[in-house]
Amino acid sequence: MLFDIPIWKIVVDAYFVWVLAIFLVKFVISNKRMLSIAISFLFVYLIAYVANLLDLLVSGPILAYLAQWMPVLMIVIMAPDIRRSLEIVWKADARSDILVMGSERTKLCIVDAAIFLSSQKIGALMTIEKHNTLDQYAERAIMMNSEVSKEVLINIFTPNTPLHDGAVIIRGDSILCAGAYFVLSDNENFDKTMGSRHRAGLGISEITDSMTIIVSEETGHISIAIEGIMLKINDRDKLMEYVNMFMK
Amino acid sequence: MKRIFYLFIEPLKAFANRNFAEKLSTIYNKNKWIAYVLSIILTIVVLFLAYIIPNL
Repeated sequence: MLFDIPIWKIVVDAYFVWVLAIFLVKFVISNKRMLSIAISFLFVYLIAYVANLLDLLVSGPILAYLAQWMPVLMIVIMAPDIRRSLEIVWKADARSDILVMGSERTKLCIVDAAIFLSSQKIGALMTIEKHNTLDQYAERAIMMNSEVSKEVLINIFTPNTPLHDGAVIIRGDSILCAGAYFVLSDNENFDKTMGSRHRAGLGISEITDSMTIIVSEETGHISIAIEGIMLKINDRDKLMEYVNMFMK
Repeated sequence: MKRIFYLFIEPLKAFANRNFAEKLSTIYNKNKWIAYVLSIILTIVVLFLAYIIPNL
């Protein structure tokens, strides 16, 4: 007995709390945007606690009220992200535990395909997966599981073919799927003239650690989106440099 | 000095600009076991608040 409670009850209680805690931690940490919001909320809770501790007359009740409504606010603001994070937590990761990035041949194929598509002004969206799984997007797309090759990538993005719309997801040395749709970025600083392809590329880079190569249909310009930043790439060497840096 | 002033004027913005989520996410991606350690810490804190504090 501990504090008049049977030990076994405390152990079972601790186990249940631990299971819930693992779920909560994985749920929050699996999505960068969720994590960022969760940290902001934690900060507000901390301020509310300090205000309560100091018994502040005005800010105390306001912050307490805010802290009370924070979970509801989070659900309303983050609904799509919550859904995706839940999917990640529930489902087993289809990848092996060891991260394998693409080989030199894969890098060359991706860069060559991007350069060719750019020269022909064919729009393209190629997302290279890293640590964060993109399974939840691949499941809704056309599964391919084919080896990465310049010809296949060009063929996928050829206009008026069934797979040309949407993104290709590359995992290691293989094309996981084509025709994947991502959540568009709502970044206000982003150039308003950029199309939805660029917004999709930026959107996926904001919530995962992937890198996306975007080829503009209108101008043929190549951009890469990584960690919520969009960079314009002028030449092949620079693109190769970024791909090498990302896939090392 | 400027950073301290900025922290004083706009603490929420200064806090948000530190990119904690990005750093935490990177650390977690490299060390997946961190989720288990964090959950153990969380469990201990919750149990401490539920069992120890009321009986102090």
